[in-house]
Amino acid sequence: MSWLNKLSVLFLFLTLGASSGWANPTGAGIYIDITRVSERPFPMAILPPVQDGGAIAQARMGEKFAEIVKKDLELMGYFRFVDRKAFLGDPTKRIRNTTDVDFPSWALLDAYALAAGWYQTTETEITLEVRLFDILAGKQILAKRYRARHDQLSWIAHRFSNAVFEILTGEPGIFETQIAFVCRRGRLVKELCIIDFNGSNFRQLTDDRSIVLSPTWSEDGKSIYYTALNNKKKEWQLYRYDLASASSRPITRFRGATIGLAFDPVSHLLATTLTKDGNSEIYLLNLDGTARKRLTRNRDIDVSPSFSPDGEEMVFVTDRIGSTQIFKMSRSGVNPARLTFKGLNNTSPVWSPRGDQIAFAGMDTDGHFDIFSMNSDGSGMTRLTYDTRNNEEPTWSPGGLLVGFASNRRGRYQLFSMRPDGSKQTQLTAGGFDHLMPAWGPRSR
Amino acid sequence: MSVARLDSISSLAAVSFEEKSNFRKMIIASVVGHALLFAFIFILNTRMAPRRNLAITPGPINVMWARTVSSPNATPSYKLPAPKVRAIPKAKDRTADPKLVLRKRSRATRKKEREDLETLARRREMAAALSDLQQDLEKKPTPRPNNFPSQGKGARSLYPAGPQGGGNVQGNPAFTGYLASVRQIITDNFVWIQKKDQLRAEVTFQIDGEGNILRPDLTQSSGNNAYDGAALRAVRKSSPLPLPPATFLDHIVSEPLVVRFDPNSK
Repeated sequence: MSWLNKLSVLFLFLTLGASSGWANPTGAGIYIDITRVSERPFPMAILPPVQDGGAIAQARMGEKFAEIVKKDLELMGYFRFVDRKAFLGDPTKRIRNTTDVDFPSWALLDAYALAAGWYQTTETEITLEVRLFDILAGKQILAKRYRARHDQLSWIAHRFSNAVFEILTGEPGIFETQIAFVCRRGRLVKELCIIDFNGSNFRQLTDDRSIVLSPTWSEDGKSIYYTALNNKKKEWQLYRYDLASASSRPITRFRGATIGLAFDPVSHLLATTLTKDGNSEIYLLNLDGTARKRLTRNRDIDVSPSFSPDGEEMVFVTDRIGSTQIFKMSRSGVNPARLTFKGLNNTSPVWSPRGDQIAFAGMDTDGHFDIFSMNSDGSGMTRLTYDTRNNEEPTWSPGGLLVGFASNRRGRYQLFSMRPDGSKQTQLTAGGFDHLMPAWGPRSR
Repeated sequence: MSVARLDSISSLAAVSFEEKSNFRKMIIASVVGHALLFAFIFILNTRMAPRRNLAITPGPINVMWARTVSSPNATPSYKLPAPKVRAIPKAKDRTADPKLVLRKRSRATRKKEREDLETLARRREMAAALSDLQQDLEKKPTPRPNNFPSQGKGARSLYPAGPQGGGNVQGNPAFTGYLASVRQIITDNFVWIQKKDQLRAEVTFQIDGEGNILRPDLTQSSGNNAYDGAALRAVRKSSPLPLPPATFLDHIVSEPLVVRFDPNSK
């Protein structure tokens, strides 16, 4: 038999074998379908990075780094950290690669992942290397190296938290985002303020002794737009605060009030409510403040616009049916459809960045507001806050991972965050002043 | 005073004296008789009453009295039973105390042993429960997969054919129950942050005779590395799985198990 015939026979043999299921036994096997996810949080452990030489002894920096990362991830409500008291082995051992990790011991503690590393310091800088290990797979899945000033240790920790979150969930983290809000500094004085996502690093941005309302972020996260009452001219104006220069300037001046700001992701324009024509109507504005297009035309009040992530639709509040309800319409202003049919006062709708849900505040029969969520078609209304006085003005974090809101459950209005299902409610601000109208900034800084 | 009177008086005196002596004799006889009577009664009582031993004795003493018994076989015995002596407990050998031995071992070892025992107990319970279920069901006819009576040779089922790797165990409630327990274990370990993603992944593995998961392999990726990692972790964390009933053990260890992770499937 010639070599060609032998090759043909061999090819035929392999083809038959593959079709019979030897190479790819499709259909063979016992099938098990997993249609639910566990309600358990993700268990992991973090070892404080160990100092590995350096000019200056900064023994506590590793502990501080680990503590920041732990608080960041716990804030999300999806992670659970193994208690350090249960750690086995020497916690000061330097872990550089997989051979240094006792995977069976960590598996015994029910840890799915382990973060560990080391650092070196100079007089002004710290160089930190951190590793993330998959305990069950027995391998390293993340390695990061950072160099920064000593006072930027928090920034390093937040960046590592973002990396850990993304590698374990597939979603970028929000640990470098900020929240802009209104802080009341007197009976008729409201200023623009800002905090980090976890409530730290509080700063007051304006000091105009005016009334600031409705802060909203630009899409690039470099500016904050807001409306404020000009005390001298006694008129409302739209302002833009630049974070880099730490200064604000007026953009436009309209007769009447400017209420509620939202960015259109398609046209990249600002949508707001103006009363310049004698009635509250929703307009699209150019970034220089001039009116581009009027979206609503009726004799009723239309306020608080919020666009869907793709910009094709918009939700807003109107009283055209006799009570304050939430409607949805196309971006061109046609085909309005009612979304809320329960309650008499539903306000402040915000569309989730994921596009599937809309959060809003609704007044219950006791006269208090609570935060609710519903599907984008108005179905599946779910109550997220219960019997805790007023909970208002929801705002979504990037990715729809958390919901920020203002609540006076403990006296003064303070800012809180919670998971989209209403769990893990965490207070972010404190103090003797009211903190209102939170606006969660985008990821880029 | 006349003689007669004197005579009568003397006779009376004589009679009186005679009567007196007879009376005296009677008194004496009465006293003696009473004394004898009392003595007899005394003797009789002392013989019938139990004796009291006033001496100090080391322990109780049981006294058996003779008595008339009707049974000719019963023999009254005066033998004192042996005193009951309380046994002095032996001192415990503390070096053999299992709790003391357990305490000396490291915390990690104790925890591992406890987990091993719990795992073994859980697996035994599951195997016993499934064996009992199988025994009950063996008395009933095995339901056909398509729930329709046989329509004769060559009849076509009205339902689409599924994976046929199970042979005749498919549709067996005991086998299905075992798979349900495996599914629950893997679900409990499937930790995934996003609940509404349209992601689907498959992990294939085999188990050995001890329930250990062997060579878990991602046979279909979801396109999301994090989701694939969560699926693989769920399978690895579930090892060892409970042992199936002995009837199905050979079948399960010889076939691959394919776990399809699709939280949004109905």
